[in-house]
Amino acid sequence: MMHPSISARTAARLGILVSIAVTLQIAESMIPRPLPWLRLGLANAVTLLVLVRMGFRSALAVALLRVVLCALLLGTFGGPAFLLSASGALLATLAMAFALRAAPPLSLLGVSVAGSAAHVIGQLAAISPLLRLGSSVAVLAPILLATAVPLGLVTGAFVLAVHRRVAPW
Amino acid sequence: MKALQTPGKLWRTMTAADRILCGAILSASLIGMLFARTPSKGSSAAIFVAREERMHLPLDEDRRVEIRGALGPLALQVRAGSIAVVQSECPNRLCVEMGWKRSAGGVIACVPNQVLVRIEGGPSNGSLPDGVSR
Repeated sequence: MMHPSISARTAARLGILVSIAVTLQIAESMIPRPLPWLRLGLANAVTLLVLVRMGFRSALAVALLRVVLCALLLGTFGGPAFLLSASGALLATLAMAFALRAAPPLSLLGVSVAGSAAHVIGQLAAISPLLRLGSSVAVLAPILLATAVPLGLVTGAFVLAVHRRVAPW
Repeated sequence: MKALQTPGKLWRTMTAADRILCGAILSASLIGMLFARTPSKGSSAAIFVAREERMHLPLDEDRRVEIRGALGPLALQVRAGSIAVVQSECPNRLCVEMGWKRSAGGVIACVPNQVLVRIEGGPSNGSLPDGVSR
């Protein structure tokens, strides 16, 4: 998954970014939410930042390592919550990679919204066969998709601000 | 450097494609809500004990039924197209507190008794799945 040989500098950078993402996700999991599936997704902001600055492979590595580490730390590894978050993170990373190359250019805000929506779709796709919730998913999907837009914008604004302020590496 | 502190600045930062994407997602979900948001009434209730279907109750017939769960007897009541668990020998009585259900896809579960009531009939339903994910 990773580039065959990466510099120590890149490895260290990725390690720091993974730990930031893990911290954000765990901090976020402690905030009570109105709906259990509603989440700001600040950890996804780290994926986006890595995607913009270091490319797709690094972003995928950071996203998947973050999901696995969080699951181990929260004790959800291998369970349904882990599957949800893994498929959501995977689909979000893929969608953001495509959105970054969109022909009429999207800003980081739009890319973040695409990632946020893809995260929702990935989660629902993973959970519906698991719980046989076919018809309930039809009710839940539009609600979650609609919330993905404002939440994606907030995350995108966060990434834009960080991207502008933090010196290029 | 004072980027994106107000919604107005956020709006001006968005490209045309950004706005189209957001609009497309929002309208797709709006259409989805219009189609999915009509809970249909169930026609019957399937009763499962320990994952095995024990009984099928039509909801247009008012009656009271007693079944044996894993912990003890459990009483179901059908009244005016709805069904509820009215009595159970489980510790928390969450199944009784779930009250009356009538929409297709609706579920009443008594986990300690391993009893599941699922309302059938109709293509969609209005009940939201709940659960915890982190």
